[in-house]
Amino acid sequence: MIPGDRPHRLPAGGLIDRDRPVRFTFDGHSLDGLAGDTLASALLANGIHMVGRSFKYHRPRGILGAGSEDPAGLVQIGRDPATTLPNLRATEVELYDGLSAEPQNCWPSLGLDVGVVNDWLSAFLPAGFYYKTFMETAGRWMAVEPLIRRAAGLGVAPTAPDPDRYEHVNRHCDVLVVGGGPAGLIAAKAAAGGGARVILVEETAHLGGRLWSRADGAVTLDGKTGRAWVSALAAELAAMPEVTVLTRACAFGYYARNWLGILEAVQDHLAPGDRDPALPRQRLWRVRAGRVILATGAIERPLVFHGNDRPGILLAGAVRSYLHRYAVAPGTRAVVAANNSDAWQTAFDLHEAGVEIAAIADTRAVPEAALIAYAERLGLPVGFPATIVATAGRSRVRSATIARLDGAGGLAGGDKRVRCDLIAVSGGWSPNVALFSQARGKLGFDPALQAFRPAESWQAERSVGAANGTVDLAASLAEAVTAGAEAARATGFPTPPPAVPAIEHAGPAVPYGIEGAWSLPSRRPPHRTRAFVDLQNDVTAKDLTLAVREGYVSVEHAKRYTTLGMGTDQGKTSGVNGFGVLAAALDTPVERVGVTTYRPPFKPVTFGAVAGQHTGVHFHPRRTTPMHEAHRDAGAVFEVVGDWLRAQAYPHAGEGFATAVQRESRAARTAIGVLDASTLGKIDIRGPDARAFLNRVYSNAWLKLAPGRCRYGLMLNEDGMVFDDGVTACLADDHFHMTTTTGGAASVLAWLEEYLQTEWPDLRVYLTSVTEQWAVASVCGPGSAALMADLLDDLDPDPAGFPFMTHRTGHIDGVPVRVFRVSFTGELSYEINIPARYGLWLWRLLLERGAGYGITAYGTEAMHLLRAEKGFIIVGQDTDGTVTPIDLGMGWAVKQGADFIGKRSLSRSDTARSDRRQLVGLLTRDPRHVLAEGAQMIEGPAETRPRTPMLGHVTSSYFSPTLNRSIALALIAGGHHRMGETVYAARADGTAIPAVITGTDFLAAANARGGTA
Amino acid sequence: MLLIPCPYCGARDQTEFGYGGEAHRARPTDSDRMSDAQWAHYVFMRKNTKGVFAERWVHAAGCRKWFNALRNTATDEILAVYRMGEPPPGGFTDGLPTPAGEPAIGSGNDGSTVALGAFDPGAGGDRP
Amino acid sequence: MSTDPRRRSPLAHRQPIGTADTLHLSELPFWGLLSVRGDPVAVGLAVREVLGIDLPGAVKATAGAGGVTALWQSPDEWLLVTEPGREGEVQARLTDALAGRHHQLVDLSDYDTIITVAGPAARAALAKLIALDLHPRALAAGQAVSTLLAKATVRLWLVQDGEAGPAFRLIVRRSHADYVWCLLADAGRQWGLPPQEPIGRVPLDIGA
Repeated sequence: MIPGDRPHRLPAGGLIDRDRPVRFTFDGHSLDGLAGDTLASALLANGIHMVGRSFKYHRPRGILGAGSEDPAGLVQIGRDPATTLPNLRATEVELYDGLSAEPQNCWPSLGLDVGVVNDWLSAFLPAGFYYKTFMETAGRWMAVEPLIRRAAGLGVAPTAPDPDRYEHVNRHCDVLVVGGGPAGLIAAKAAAGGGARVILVEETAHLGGRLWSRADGAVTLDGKTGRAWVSALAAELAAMPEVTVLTRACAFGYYARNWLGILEAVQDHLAPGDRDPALPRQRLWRVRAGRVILATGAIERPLVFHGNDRPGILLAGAVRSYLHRYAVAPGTRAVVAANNSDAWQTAFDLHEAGVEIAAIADTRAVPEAALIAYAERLGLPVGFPATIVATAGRSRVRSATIARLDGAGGLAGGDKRVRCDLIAVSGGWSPNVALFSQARGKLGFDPALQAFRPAESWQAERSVGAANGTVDLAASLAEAVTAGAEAARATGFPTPPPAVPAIEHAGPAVPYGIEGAWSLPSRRPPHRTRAFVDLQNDVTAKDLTLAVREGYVSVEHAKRYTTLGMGTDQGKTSGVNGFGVLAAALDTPVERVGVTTYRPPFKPVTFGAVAGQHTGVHFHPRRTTPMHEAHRDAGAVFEVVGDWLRAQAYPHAGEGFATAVQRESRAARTAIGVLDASTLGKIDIRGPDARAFLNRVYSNAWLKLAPGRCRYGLMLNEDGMVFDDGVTACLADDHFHMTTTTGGAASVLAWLEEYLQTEWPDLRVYLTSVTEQWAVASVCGPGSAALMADLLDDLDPDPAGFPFMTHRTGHIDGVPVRVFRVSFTGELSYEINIPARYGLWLWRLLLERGAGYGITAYGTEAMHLLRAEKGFIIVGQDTDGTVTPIDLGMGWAVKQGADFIGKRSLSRSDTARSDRRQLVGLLTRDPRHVLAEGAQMIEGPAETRPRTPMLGHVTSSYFSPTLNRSIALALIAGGHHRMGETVYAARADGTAIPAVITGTDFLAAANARGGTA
Repeated sequence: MLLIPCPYCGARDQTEFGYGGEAHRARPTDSDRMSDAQWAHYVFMRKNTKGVFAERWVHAAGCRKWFNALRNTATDEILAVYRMGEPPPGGFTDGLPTPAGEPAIGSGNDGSTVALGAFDPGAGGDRP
Repeated sequence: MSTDPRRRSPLAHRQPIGTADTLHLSELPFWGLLSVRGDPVAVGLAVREVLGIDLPGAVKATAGAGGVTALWQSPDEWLLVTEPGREGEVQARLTDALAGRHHQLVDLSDYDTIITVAGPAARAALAKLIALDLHPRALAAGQAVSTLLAKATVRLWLVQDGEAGPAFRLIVRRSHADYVWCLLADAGRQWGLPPQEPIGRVPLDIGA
């Protein structure tokens, strides 16, 4: 089936470099092409049409189109598990030396495919087959799904991490022109003349659009051939400093406010070895445009006749692209079938290229006389009104059977079977309105065009040329010039519009003259007619009529029921035909059927491009404290808290994590511990009403806090639930230093600003974050005062004169510091705040000078343990947004009288319930057993039926080295009134761990019992 | 992506902003005299308007100022922005046209994006 | 100011990279940064008296004199940028001038650092990470703006623009500086900048 039997390359012409041969492989065969070829043109030049098999019936699939519209010529590029690329259109893959392409959906091989049995069984695989057969009972679907997925699928996704680089680029422009065909080119020139910033994006490698799909000289613009005109215009645009021209760039998404996504394939066309590692493989341009001009052209649709899906059947316009753009004749003997005049040009061009024309079959009753005369002069056999009713040939079409139409939707006699290896079909051209529709523009059905085209814009955008349904080149260019000049004016860069070039055609100029032919008659009974609408998803006209019969009369429903247009091609060639077939089945005008919603992306976009450069090490910021290097050098184990890397523990060599935590905790209670607390949120609060403000945002009282003193506070949401806590220090009567949790820093500041700006603009208070201004080392333990005395130049740390919950300023080695006597461990503590630039120095100084005092750096895990021993809560661990201060046993932090955020909610009937889940301590009966955090607590040792009531859950759980036993905090229903009772922690294996409910301050309780263990 | 006109900084990408929900909901000053139901209504209930909706935004990555906006929730058009404490500018009413001419309730997403009737070649105008 | 070995800037572990004829990154460590908030008239009078600067009154605007530049942040907030070591003196004089008036003056010199991004490719490199319009028509020399750079909030200040290309200063918070630095280096790969590994890339498995 890989014959390469004769050269199909034409002797002259094309955008190919005949001096640069390229070797590539397809399906394991080594083949030759030329630089400038696409994979499709190179395959056609080798006489290869069949490139894969269809999704459902595994029918042979060939190349239908010549660009991004091609539905089924999908290939897999490369075999490397990291870089293999599935589902690429052979028509878009640019050839490079060493390219290796594989057909898809063929198992075990392209020639022999066991899935083809689906084709023989197709009578049993109607529309909605999967739903009908397997959705009735979920179990059956689960059983058959893997089989179906194996048999019906597209390419194979890569399995290893993608080594390629991608990047995002943001750009703003005054005018974005999508489409580098003649209309887009001249629109860009018209828009740019006055200095406007213009971006022109072209999907293919070359500007010029369908001018490349005509014989050069078939049309002249101001006396220049098409190619000369394009080159001149491209040079003009390149010389304009505010114009950016992107080729190999597809505008795939049109979003709100003229924001478009554009995928630029920067290096896909190069052999991997030739790619520049400094450049990304693909770029995602995110463009905000003042005005958008859509010059996206039109997409040809096939004719819907029995057997219209065989390899060797190409769109008529695509055939001209292969002839002129790539100098490839895709066959030796051709039939041209159409419902319009445009396709006749394909017959004439094929004839000119030496391809024999077996027949021209036109469905119209009376094609233009000029065409018929021209064809007769060339000796081309013409039939009308006529259609193809059948084709033959498995991996390549061998013949077509042509029948006369009776003019009433049926067939007349006189079928004629003609030998051919190429069928060029045209069901007419549909304006490419995908982006226009994504922009929420309204379509209208144009009877003269037999297609939908832009009717009413929603965004600041205009469609021009073929995208707007303007078929004639001169009219297209005039429209584009007007749109370009208008966009320039609208964006503030007016300029006189350039002259519209004078157009002259070499051949017969005839009107497009399309007559609708949505679904052509067949000689076969309906159930044996295989007239495909969607070649990728194997949707036939019969499937659509069946959907209508079964009640799926809405176009959106019929689409989903049949999967019409739901493949990777998004129905580019099938959509409008599908709507037409539905209209016929519904016996209603196609404009009443409407269209399905066009959604981004216009064509598939790689996940790599969507992620851009924000992957791997660059995915998300990891914030480090000023002391980070010291932690790293000490071998710390890190955890991420609010994007911060915090040292969780500092295991010594050979010491495990848990052992390290025990050692660090013990040191903090018996000698000195030091914690990097730099990540705590810090907010400078200043203004005459600062005190009143604090009194409204904290649940406890703040009006009387004296300068020099600190206070712990709880913040509630308006629903009464605790959402942050921290210590705030009074620096002066109108000046406070607030601390928040590490994770809550940003949200607390935002929340405070929100209330200040939106509810209490009368309060004279300013807030500024100072989180990162200060590095913070928290020194605690019985030896800490001695170490502090050793360090401080000018401040006496003796707790007698520097009591708990006060703060002072002083100096360490001449560097100003602010010291807070606050504690999260229950030990004697000093929280040293120093300008962040000195943080690392201070940390190292503490460890050096503290060595003699037995100082130990402790991490967040030991900190959690130490505070749990004292029953101090961690917001977000012991609370979860459903916990009030009362639930926490912190009613002392709820002031009476003055209002504060959340106050009223604390007396709602639900928040006042006595059986709410309340924070308590838990002591397991077995002191060695450490409960699992998150464990559900139940009433008895055994689970009950039908459902065991859950009392609550464990929020924090540790083994306390100081108490030499396990401790836990838990939220238990009505727990405050259940002291001393035993509850049970449920476990997956059905056994339950008994634990006694206690108060939360384990350390105080142990001391009361006569000292710790 | 929306382009949101901050009253202080001008038009910026949506990513620079935080959303603050329904505007013009003053925090009650007499909550101790409110019933549970009244209070719950203030805390929990918000409008879900299809059409012109007064809402709050904060320019989080810019000037950090809160402001109000009138946005047509059916089309994402921002019709006006105004400062905190100011009343919404007049002249805006519900029932602005939507791209698809969709109904007041529901998506209307049933193929109605197609203009019915004969094609009018003069209809291809841009919105201001 | 003499070098104090006890100090460490947020990007002390990085060396300048790139070349001035395409793209160049470096840290400007230890510059003075003061946030001042208050009524524009009251603060404006004090700033003019102390620094001889007319406080900028609108988005993007900056104004400078005598080595101090005021960047507009919001209608009631400005950032004063001083040469290294001058922040204490400026803060003290402003504090005196603002005495008795409701205001907030906070030293943020350790909160942020400054990264310079300079050279003909600077705009193109920044545009890979910033969605804002960086074209000279939208952001001119002497203008500054707060925005997002990838996931970090930054203040972007175009200090000069000319033949040698634009010179931007990015004022970034200390803990985001390395993230921003590494992203900028990545954005500059096409102009020869070497890849940079973020310091925050440490394994997170807890050794059991």
